[in-house]
This record gives sequence, structure tokens and C-alpha cells, in this order.
Amino acid sequence: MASTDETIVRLTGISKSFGDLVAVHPLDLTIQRGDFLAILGPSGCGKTTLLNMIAGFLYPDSGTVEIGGRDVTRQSPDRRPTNMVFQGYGLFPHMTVRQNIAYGLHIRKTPKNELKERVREIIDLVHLEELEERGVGQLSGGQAQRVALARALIMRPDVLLLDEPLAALDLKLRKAMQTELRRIHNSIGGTFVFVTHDQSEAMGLANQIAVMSAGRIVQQGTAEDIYATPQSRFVSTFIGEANILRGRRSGGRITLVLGGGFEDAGNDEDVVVMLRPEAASLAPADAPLPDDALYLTGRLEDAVFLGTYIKYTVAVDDEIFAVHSADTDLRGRVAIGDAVQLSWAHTEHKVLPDT
Amino acid sequence: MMDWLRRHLPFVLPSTTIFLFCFAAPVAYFFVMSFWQIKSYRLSTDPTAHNYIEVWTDYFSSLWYTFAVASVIGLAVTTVAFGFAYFIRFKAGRWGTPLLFVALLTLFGGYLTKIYVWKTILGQSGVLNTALQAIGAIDEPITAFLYNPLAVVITLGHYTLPLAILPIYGALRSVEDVPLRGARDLGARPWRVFKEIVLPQCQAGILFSFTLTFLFAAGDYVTPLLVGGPYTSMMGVIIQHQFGLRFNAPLGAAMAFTVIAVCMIIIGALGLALRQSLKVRA
Repeated sequence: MASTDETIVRLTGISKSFGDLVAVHPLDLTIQRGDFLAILGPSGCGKTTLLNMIAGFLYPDSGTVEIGGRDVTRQSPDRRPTNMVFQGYGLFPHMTVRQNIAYGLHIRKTPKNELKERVREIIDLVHLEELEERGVGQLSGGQAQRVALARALIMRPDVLLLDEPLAALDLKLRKAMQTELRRIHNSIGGTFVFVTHDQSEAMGLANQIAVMSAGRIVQQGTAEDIYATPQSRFVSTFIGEANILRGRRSGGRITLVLGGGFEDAGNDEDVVVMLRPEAASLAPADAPLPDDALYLTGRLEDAVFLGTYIKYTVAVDDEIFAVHSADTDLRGRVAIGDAVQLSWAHTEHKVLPDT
Repeated sequence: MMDWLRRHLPFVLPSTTIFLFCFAAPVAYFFVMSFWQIKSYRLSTDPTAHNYIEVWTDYFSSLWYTFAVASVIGLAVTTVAFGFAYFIRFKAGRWGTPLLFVALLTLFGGYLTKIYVWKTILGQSGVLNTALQAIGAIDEPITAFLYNPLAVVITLGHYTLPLAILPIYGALRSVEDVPLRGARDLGARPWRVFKEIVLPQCQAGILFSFTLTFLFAAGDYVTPLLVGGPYTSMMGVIIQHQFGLRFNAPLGAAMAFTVIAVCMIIIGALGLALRQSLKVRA
């Protein structure tokens, strides 16, 4: 199910402090039914606190939480139409796989036949066949992850919450589970919200990303939007790789600290100019400059072949820049230690506030 | 097998020897003796079940009384110990460890001291009576505080409580928080989380604490003697008499084995009941 126009979660002005520490500043967030939303941010940015306020494990100090049009701000987790996949899974150690999965329906007093049917269904969905009667202590990390997912999904929650769901898995398993989660989201629909500090995970899973920093949502949008038009230096470096050039705008012109400049209307202030590594070109220092391009000269420090592109590292004064180039001829024309020219068209960079 | 013996014998030999000679052998000897009989001040070694019949007929009321008191102590102490352990595990935060330490500290002073402490509190001119008289609640000291079954329960309970806290606390410590949140998230009210997630995980600790206090109470003969009064003849006291004043060791042995057997049955039954009632039905 794709994203729809129907709002399923609406957070209005919610905030949370622990003593003197403000974990979440008053913020608004709406999630559409069918979204797969990633709340992305470095550790300590308040993303888990935010998730816990949606789940009901924490009550906000201010603001309201609405789920499915109902105000649940002061409702405990057992009364909310949300279910959570916990970090570390939190499976019931004294129960079998099947008992873990059936527990929620058992509490709801679901008729036996329906319960059996739904357990079967969910076990097929997450591929746990043959493991039903195992104790959860005998499961591998990936299997435990599937049980945690099944235990929450069987409740058919309005919103499925996932707290760093893949953090405990090794790289290979993580990739496999990403594919699996997307398949499950596509096949059952529903709204998934997950918290992660890993931008590649966020981009690989979600169709919506909310970037958090220091208790605030600094930008929300699709992965493509955020990558193409980051609204701050923090977002540009957190989502994807970015080269940052410092500069100052004065009288409608930005002058870069490393030299060069260009016209740009706006207030007089310090700014940063962000350039994606794949938007920059590299050439020997004596090569003719493309028309109307900005450039820096520096020394080639490193060149690493990464399959579809080569990653060049260029030192300009004391600063390091990355250039990704798919041009295979270039490798023969520049050698490590050479003076090189790093250039880009005016249209390729973004001028951002320095936050 | 020989290889295994050679490798492990140095470690198990001392303890095995001590166990065999100081425990297994005397117990076996008394077990055999329990089928002997004293007839007109003479020991007859013809095997007979007479002693056991006597225990179940002549001493039935004492037997019943012993297990009633021991069960009450076992259940009451285990319940209080659970409450305390639960509090320090889940509610006390950083005060948990100091509180546990304080509870253990009350073991200092030993067993007899505690008995005399309660005699001092509950006695005729004891702390409780003096206090009640001072505030004018009573005119004459109440003699009923001491020398009754309740005094036995209080005294033995006070002594065994710290010992009962430890196994339960150990079990509760290994109960993790995330599964409890998981159960709440799946719709369980706090009471159900407690009954279906917390309790089943500390079954063994609960049974262990009960066993400890129950056995201690069922086998004790000092406390009932000193605070229990004339009518509170618990088996421990009676068994001691058989080996002492009465010079009837075979009957004493039969009593001891009867008590041991009933203890095992009660503990086993409680274990089964606990397992049945905490069984996951999902």
C-alpha cells in the first residue's frame, strides 16, 4: 500500500524533558496511512523518546498525540492501536515462538479458530515455519527479529513502531531483513514508523524520512527530496555524503574562504556551500576550465575503485573534499600526489544556513 | 570412565567422603533403626512398622500442627519476601542495593538473639505491654501475646525473612524490562504482566524460598520450646524428646522420616500447583 492522504498519526506540539535535559522540543509531525516513515538522527537526538510517546510508554509534557483521529495522549500502551518491535526484541523467554506470537490475541480473547488461523498466516508471512514450538532462547538473531515482528504484526496495528529494528544484526542479515521488511510492508500495507541512526537503512526502507537533531525535526520528506534539497548543513551531511565550503555573503555575493565566489541574493551572513561528491568534476590542474564553473585547486590524496565509481580524495589547503567519478579515463590522467582541479557548475551546489 | 575418575577424583573425593560418612551413613542407620522397637526398655531389632503407625495415630495432632505452622510461616514469609524483593528490583531504583544490604544485616545477631528479642517485645512485662499500658489502652498486661502459635510464626518468620528474600531477588533480577513493556504493548494490563510474564520467570526462586523457610520451620525445635508455650508441641520438640528424655530413638527416627516425607510431598505439591497455575495458556 502506498502513502495515502489520510492522516493516521498527528503529533501536535509534543515535548518531553527529563529533569533539565530537553529530549524533545515542542514539535509537530503527521504520518499518512500507508507510510513507511524513518525517524533518523544521531544517538541522543530524541528519536526514541518520540517513538515512545507515540507508543504510550512516555507521556509528553505538552501537546497531543492523535492516532486514527482519536486523542490518545494520556492512554497507556495497552489501549493504543500501536504495536512495537523493540530494540533487543523483548521476547517472552518462558514461552515458545508460537506462544510469543499468539500472546496479544490471547489477551484480546480472540476465538481459538481465528487465533490459530492468524498465527498460521503470520508465521507464513515472516517465514518461521518449523520453529513454532521452539523456545525463544534457541533462536538466532534473525529468527528472534522475525518473532518480534510477527508478535506485533499479528495485532494488525494502525501503526507498527520499530525501535532500531536491525541494529543487532550483522551486515548481511541486515540487508536481507531490509528487503524482508519492505516486502512485508508492501504485502500487508499498514503504516510503519521506525527509528534509526543509520541513513542507509532509512533510505533503503522508508518512503518518508524525518531527520531529527537535538530534539527537533529539522526536515521531513522523501529520501530523494531531502538528498536533493537539504535545508541545513546538518541534513546535507547526515543524508548522503557532502562537501562543505565555508563562505560569507555580503552585498549579494558569496565569497568562499578557499577562494572564488559567485552572485547570490540574501542577507549578509556566514553561509555554507554544499556540493555532493558526484556533482563535482576532477581534472589535471592544467586542464582548461569549463565555462562558468567554480573551481578549487588541490592535491590528489587518494583514489579508491568502488565498482560503479571511483572515489577521489582531494586536499585543498587543510580541507578534504570527495569526488565520485564514473569516468574511467580520468584514472589514467591523474596520479596520487598530482595537482588537480576540482570544478563544478553553479547550478550544482546548494547554499545553506550554517546549522 | 577411568580417565574421567582420574581427572575429577581429587576434586570430588573430599566432599564425597564427608557426605557419605557424616550424612548418608547416619541417615541410613536411623532409617533402619526406625523399623526397630523399644520393648520394655530393650531394643528389639525385628523389623516392624509399629513406630510409623504410632506416629500417625498417637502423634497425629502434633504432626498436623507442625505442618500447619510451617506452611503458614512458609507462605507468609515467601509472600513478604516476594513483596520486598519486587520492590527493590522494580521500584526502589538506586536505593535497591542499600535496602537489600539492610535486610541481610538483620541476620547479624543470630538465632537465639531473635528469640529473646521477641520474648522481650511480647512478654508480660515486655515492650508491647508496657507501651499499651502507658498509653492507657489496657489496664492489665496481656499474657496472650507470647506462648502461642502466632509468636512462633512471628519469631521464625523474622529470622527466615532475609534468607527468603535472596533467592527471589536473584530470580527477579534476571527478569528483563523490555519483555514487560512488550506485554503492555500487546494489550496486557499491569496485573496480567505480573502474573503471566513476571511470576512464571521467578517460579524457581519462589519455590526455593518457600522450601527454605518451610523446612526451617518444620524442623525447628528451639523456637516452639521458648516462645510456643505448653500446647504448641511441634514435631521438632517431640523428636528431640524421643532422643533425650524418652530414650526412644527408633520412634524418634520414625518421626523424623515421617516429617521428611511429608515435607517432600508438600513441597512437591506446591511446586506442581505453582507450575500449573502459571502455565502459559496462549
